Amino acid sequence: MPRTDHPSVESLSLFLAGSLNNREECQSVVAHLLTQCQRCGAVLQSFRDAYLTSSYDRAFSRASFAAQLAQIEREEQKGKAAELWDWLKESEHPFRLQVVRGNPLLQTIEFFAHVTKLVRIACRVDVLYGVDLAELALEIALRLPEDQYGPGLVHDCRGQAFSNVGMVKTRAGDLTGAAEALELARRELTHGSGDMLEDAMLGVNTANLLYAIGLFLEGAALLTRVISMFRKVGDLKGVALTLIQQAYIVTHVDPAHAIEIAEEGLAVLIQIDKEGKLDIAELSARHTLARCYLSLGEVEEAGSIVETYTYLYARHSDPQITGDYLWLRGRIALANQAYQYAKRFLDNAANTYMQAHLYFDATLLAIDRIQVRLLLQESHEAISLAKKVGRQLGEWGLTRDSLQLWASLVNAVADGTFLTNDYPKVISSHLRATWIPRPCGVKFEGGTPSL
Amino acid sequence: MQSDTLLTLTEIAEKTGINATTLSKYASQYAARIPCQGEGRKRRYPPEAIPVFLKLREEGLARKGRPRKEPLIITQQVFTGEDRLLLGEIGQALEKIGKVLQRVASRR
Repeated sequence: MPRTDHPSVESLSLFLAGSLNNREECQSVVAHLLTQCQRCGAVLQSFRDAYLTSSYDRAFSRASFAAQLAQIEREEQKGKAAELWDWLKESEHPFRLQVVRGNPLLQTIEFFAHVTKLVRIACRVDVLYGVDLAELALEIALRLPEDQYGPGLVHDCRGQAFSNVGMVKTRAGDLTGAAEALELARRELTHGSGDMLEDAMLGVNTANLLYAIGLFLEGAALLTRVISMFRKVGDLKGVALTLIQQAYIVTHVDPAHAIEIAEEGLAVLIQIDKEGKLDIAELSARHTLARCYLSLGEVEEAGSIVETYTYLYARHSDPQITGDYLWLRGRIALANQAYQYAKRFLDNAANTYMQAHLYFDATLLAIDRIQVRLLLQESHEAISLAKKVGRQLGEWGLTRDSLQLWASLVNAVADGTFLTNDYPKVISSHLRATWIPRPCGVKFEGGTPSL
Repeated sequence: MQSDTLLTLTEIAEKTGINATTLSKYASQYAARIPCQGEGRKRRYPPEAIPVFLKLREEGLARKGRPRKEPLIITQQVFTGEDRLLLGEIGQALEKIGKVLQRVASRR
């Protein structure tokens, strides 16, 4: 960017006062300021206060210029935030936390927003990395100066940061940590500016936690409230995404009703998203529909949906989505009695989940993997898998009842009664309600375990 | 995943029985959802696009007759008072979650 053609101080001064009558000169000053020239920005900064207090003449043009200047400053700060992150991103998590705690340059709204944006992307690839980033964003939020940003905004940011920690910890299976973070988010938002979008996001994250511990109806009811809030302010994107999320939860209790909700969500989504920018939400809705049809015994319809939207799955190939896709393909193959195919899909899904530390999904999936081995008359392999998962659950510190229940599953696999009992349903709902693995961020010794 | 055969909208119309004008409307409205190659008049569709067009028609038919709401202007609104009841409901939900998790922890 050429920096040699800076406007003169006089031109800047006249521009600030709204007295620069030459149109071309005015345009050239604007064009130059948009390059975010720090030198001219500093000159204007020094003039600004004097002009804003000097007189009421041309108040509007001065105010609009002040807004323009603030925008330039914000863009500069955003650029700086990205540069700071580039510098920090290769460091270890404890070092990053230490740097943020001790450096006011990193305690800004822009840096907080930058790290927050990365949280959702990161936890799709590696949920524990997502937890690290959410905690880093929280450290920044806790140190935002109230005198600079105002208490309302600072409480909003802290609420958002705690809410995100709750969201990622739920995904990582640290449900106690998630519940604590969400409660702290609620307290912060109570003192915030009253931004309903933050309240709604906290509602969504709390509903996800209710879902994770098996309180499906409570989760769905909370989302109904969130949806009505989004409708009230006309946020159709919020309505669509929350309806799709609600359908996902309702699938577990009433698949037929979940189909209605998912279709309503899709209809709103298609109405607002002609360009397909939210195609990940569309994928979630299609996936939910396929699961519902499969639960209702309409295997062909489920298979047709998955086939049709394979291109969407391919477009979003993060481990959670890929694992979910392979699992669903496996379950469809299982329902079609194509057991070898089913086994291949389900085993691939397990590897995908384990590599991304998605242990809860991998454990629930193990029940289907045992089932397919029994159907293939590979009982020795089925027993060995059941025992291996049991040992791993013990290491993860699950409750005594869960371990006993799993031990009874191992016995049922061994004595051939597994296929005749309703084990999958009983065990998955029990595991969901009692799943408390080790705290997030603690990596497994000897690398990622395999199931 | 995509095969080498590429089709024009007219060919897809023959195969699916969907009017070419309707297909063209789908292709422009839902461009990002339909797999395709090339731009403008040279745009062609792989056979994988056929089920997507069929699905779009199915959805279009399903929506026929339903009242369409005009999209509202999306604004960020700040609420106080009764609009913040959601925070109260979240608090109650978190209390319930806390009880469940406590019960689980006591059984470890």
